[in-house]
Amino acid sequence: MDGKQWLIALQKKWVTLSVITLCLLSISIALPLTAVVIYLKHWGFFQVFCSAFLPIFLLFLAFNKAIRIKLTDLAIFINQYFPEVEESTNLVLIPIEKLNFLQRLQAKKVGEVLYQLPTPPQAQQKLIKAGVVLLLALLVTFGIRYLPLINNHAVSDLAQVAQETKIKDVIPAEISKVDVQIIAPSYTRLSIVNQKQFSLKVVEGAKVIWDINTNVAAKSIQFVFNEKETVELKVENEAKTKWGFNRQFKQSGFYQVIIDGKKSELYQIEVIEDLPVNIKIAKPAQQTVIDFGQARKVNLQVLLNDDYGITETFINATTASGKGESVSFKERKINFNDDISGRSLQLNKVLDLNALGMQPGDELYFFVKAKDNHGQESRSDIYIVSIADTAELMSMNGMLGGVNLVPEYFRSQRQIIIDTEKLLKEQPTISVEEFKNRSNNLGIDQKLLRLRYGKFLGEESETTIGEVPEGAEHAEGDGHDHAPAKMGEEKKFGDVSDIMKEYGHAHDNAEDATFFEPELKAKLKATLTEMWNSELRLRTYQPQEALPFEYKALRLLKDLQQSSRAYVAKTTIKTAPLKLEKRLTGELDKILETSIKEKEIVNNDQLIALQNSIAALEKLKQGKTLTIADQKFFGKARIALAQAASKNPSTYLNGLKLMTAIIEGNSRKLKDIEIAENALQKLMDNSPLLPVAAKESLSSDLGKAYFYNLKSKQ
Amino acid sequence: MEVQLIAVICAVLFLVFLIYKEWKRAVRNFLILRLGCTVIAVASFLFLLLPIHYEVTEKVKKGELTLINLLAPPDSIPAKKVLYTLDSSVLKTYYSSKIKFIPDLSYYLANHPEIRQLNLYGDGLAKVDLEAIKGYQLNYHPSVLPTGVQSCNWEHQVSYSQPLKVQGIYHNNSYDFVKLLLKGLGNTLDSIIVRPQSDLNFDFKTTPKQLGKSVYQLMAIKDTDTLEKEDIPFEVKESEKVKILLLASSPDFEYKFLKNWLAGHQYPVALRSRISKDKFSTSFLNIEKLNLQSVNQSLLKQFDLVIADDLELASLNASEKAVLSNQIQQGMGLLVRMNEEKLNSSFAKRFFLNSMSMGKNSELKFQILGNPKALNKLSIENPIALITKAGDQKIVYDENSKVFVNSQLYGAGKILLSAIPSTYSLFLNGNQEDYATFWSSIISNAIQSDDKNSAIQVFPQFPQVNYPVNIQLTNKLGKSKPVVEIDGVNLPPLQSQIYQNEWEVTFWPKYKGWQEMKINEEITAFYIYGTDSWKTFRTSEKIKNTATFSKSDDKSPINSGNIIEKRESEVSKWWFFLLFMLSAGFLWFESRRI
Repeated sequence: MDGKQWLIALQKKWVTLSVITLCLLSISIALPLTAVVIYLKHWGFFQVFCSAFLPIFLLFLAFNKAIRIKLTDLAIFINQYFPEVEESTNLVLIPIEKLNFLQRLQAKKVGEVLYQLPTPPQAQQKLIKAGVVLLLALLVTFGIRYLPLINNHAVSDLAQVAQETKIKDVIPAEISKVDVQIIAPSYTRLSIVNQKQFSLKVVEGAKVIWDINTNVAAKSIQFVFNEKETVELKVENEAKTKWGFNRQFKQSGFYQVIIDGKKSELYQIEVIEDLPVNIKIAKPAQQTVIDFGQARKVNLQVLLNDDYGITETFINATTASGKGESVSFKERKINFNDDISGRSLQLNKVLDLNALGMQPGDELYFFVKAKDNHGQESRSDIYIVSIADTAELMSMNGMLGGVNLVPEYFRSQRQIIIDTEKLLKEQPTISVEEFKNRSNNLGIDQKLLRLRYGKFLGEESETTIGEVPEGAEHAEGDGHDHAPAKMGEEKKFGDVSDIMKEYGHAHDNAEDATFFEPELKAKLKATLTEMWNSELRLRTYQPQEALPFEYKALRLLKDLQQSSRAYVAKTTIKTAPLKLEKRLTGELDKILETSIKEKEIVNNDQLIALQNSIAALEKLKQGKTLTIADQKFFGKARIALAQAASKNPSTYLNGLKLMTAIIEGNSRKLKDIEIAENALQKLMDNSPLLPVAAKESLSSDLGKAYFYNLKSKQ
Repeated sequence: MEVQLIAVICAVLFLVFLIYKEWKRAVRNFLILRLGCTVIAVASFLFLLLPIHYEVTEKVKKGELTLINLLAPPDSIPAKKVLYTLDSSVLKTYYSSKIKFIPDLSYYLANHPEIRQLNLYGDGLAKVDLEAIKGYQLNYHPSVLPTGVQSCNWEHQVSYSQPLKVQGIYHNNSYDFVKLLLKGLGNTLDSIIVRPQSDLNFDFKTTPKQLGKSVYQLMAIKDTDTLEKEDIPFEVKESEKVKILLLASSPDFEYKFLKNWLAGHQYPVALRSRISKDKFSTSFLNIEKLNLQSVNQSLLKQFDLVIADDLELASLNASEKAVLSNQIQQGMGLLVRMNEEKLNSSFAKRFFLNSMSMGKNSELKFQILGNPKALNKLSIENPIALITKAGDQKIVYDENSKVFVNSQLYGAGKILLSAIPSTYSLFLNGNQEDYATFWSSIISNAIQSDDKNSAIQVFPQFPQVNYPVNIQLTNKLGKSKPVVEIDGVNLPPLQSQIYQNEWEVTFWPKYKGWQEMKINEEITAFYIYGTDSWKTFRTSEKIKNTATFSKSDDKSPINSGNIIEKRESEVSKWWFFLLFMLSAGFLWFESRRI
């Protein structure tokens, strides 16, 4: 026998098993990978799996040595593994001619031995190991599938609109089969739904095609929509057992099938409306003020959702500049850079206010507009971004004519700003020491100002408020003066109250304590905080950084000033003096008195019918019989229910069905009555509390009699 | 008996056999002892099978009777005492041989005049039995209150638009949470959760939308088990429309809105507003035209309530004022609205203003008597508050308990003063509900109705099928004996000994549900509950009644010596077992020794 052939067969077997092993291993790697990708990205399984599996498999094929095993290698392996072959397997691979006599003998012997050898178990062992790995991989894959779905995408897929009703119908016995095909409008991209029952849940504008097969020939089949509209079905075969009809739905309602005059139960038609795009602006806030020193940029973050798809979205931005009568508006459309498609989007956009040509004091009004693939438009609320106008704060407008409450304080804050700016401008030209000195002085001014305002809040002072401490240094020509507040007043000699003031320790003035309303005080406090911050920067020789705080303090002060102001228009009306003796002496006999009998308002019929129907249903619960009046109320209540059901079948249709059953005497079940009652009471509005005479118990009758007798005795 | 006889015969045969074997044995050691042990072993084995009973005589305190009832906790029942019960179902639940059954307590007590004291364990005695033991010393050991509704009350007649309030106490003895629900018309209307091991005062509120008689349900649910399901019957009645006369010193919006709102709910309203001196503009809604030129008695008799300005009242002439005051004393209501910062008319001057100013414009949140929810904010310029004196009832007040609508009794009627200038802004702000609450509460507080002819009260609170029901009728004073008819049967009413207008009727209901009753051709209805309804309520009622009875009945115990009672007792089987083991053990050991 030829041992070489045996070895070749073994090599084939070895390679095949190796390829299968590699295949299994590739699957083991590709499967969890696919699961992870699907979990994160929600792509299709097949595409992901193929694109993961193929490269892995090819890589394995390229680098694996087992599939390229040579016969000589195999021979060495056999030599090592089976002692029977006496280390001479490689002899069978050498052509006989090249062997010497002894080798020939040995080769022949080995050839015979080889045929009796079993397949080495190593070949299968690899396969088994790969199988185990695959099993593990499968477990991991399923594990990933059952992980809770993380909402890594707030914008990820919304649930698809489902056109499936959960109601189980009772189909008339005459009908052997009913096929209902629901074709949603193309823009919804919903697939066609086939169902075997009458109750419908369809999207707005969907076309519904019925195919009805009856057991026996029917004379006519009709559909009654909302108990109003009756339509005949078309016969589709000669035997009159196949009927068809189709219709498009825009509104919810219900319908009934009538086969040769026999009515079925009521079936619900629920129409799912297409909603416009839902726009949510996450950033910025509805009102944003960009203060001095802040970047004039607004980061806009928008979330959009729609049931079927968004086709278009943009920002409508209007800038308003100027003031008073010369305000000019400029409107522009800003597009998002992203690609607009899909059912939900998260969009980001940075609005550069400088690029929009905005100056301090200008305002930006913007809203986001979006359109869905049905052409429905929707827009967000209007958002306002304004840039604080520092120039306006510095102006003296309104300060000159009106009530001048505490002008010097405001001038001081403004002065500090002017000085700070001046200092910054002069910084390159003056010495470092001078710069520090002036910055420090400004800080002292800021402190004094703060202390003055602190007085209004009843804060304890470090020094006498309103007076410059003696050691305070002032640089010459710093553009402001710190004249003591009461410079003009001379102290009167012997004024007791003055002396008392000097030596007494008045904590705070009662008047000061009630000087401002709490709201004002809160604002004042905020101003003080800004002043603190400003002072800190000035004292640490950082006037550049102090500037934003100074501006903010000034803006808050300005607000304070405005809020405590009242304007009164001047009037110049002179009235003639009244002659008191002539008052109320006019002749009135020609004046006619009006007397109106207004129209009577009566309760509406429907409410009465509903109220009494519930009472009648309660009677039924007690097992009592109904009167004719009750039946009449039932009739009216049923009409009201039918009307409500045509608009909102999911809430009222079941009630209508049971109400009909109760009226016809088909049901007296407690549960059915309760459902009908529930539907009826949903139709009624809550009555407001009405005036009712307080009930007096009759036992007080005796007391009353006593009271009257007592009175008559008086 | 036969089994015992067979056992005895077997034992004797077995003994004879054993003795024969012992006698015949070759080794004759301890013969006597062995024979004795054999006899003892067999005998004690026999006594294990057939226990020995003997009679003991016991000295019992004379005149004591120990009764146990259902729900008596087993460990509290005294041992070594003769126990009696009135409830045959007790015999099933407890170890029966010790308890004797008394079918009728009063009969038993009459037969045993020596009994002076009763020890009672369990859920107490019914009212009838408590009557029977009056004068006896009662030691009551009550059982714990069962889990369930301890009390429950609601108005059986509700006017339309008024809320139905179901209040009561639920006692939860268990270690689980219990959910209480009020259900009606297939809906859950209100619910609350009762913590384990606690009492809860529940207060359910719902406004029924329907008219006529309905039965709601009060349910107690633990997980998915329904612990209790009780009927809550009530009747919604269309309320009698209050007739209102509005007198305005000048046309204003407050009256206009009030008039339209009242008319919109079908209330008869007449409005007279002064447009000049002695010139009025009048309008009538849901009422026939009347002459409103002057206020006289015949006019006022047609109205239940007058709402008027302070100034308008001040401008009435003396006779008009007298007529108005007289009419209020007869039971009419008057609501005075302040126009100025001072009080003008004599009606308004009965009240006092709070001189403390409240500041300029205030946003006030009003609270109305009997309405837990505060109204939305109402802004009032320069609000003035009122001072309440003894005998006044504040009706509208703000968060700081400053009163803005005050009321006083005036004869049989009431006078109210309102310091709130306008409320229509509530209406305009879309707070129609608040507006309705405000005016409904004020109007309801201003008037009382007494045009009912008779009223009934039913005892017990929850009448049951096949148990007697006492119906107390209160007639209008001066009316003759009422004719009462139930299910076509005339029932003779019994007049109260104290009040001549009170009558009592006893009636045995036959079926569950609404029971109609005719009183002088007028139909009223009450509800008869099923036999197993309100069980826990009844049990706890019984326990409480008995406890109160035992407390009130504190006579000193009577020491009247002891009497001798015979009781059957049993020799413990353990003795025989021990004897058997010893003798059998000796026999076994002796045989091994050889």
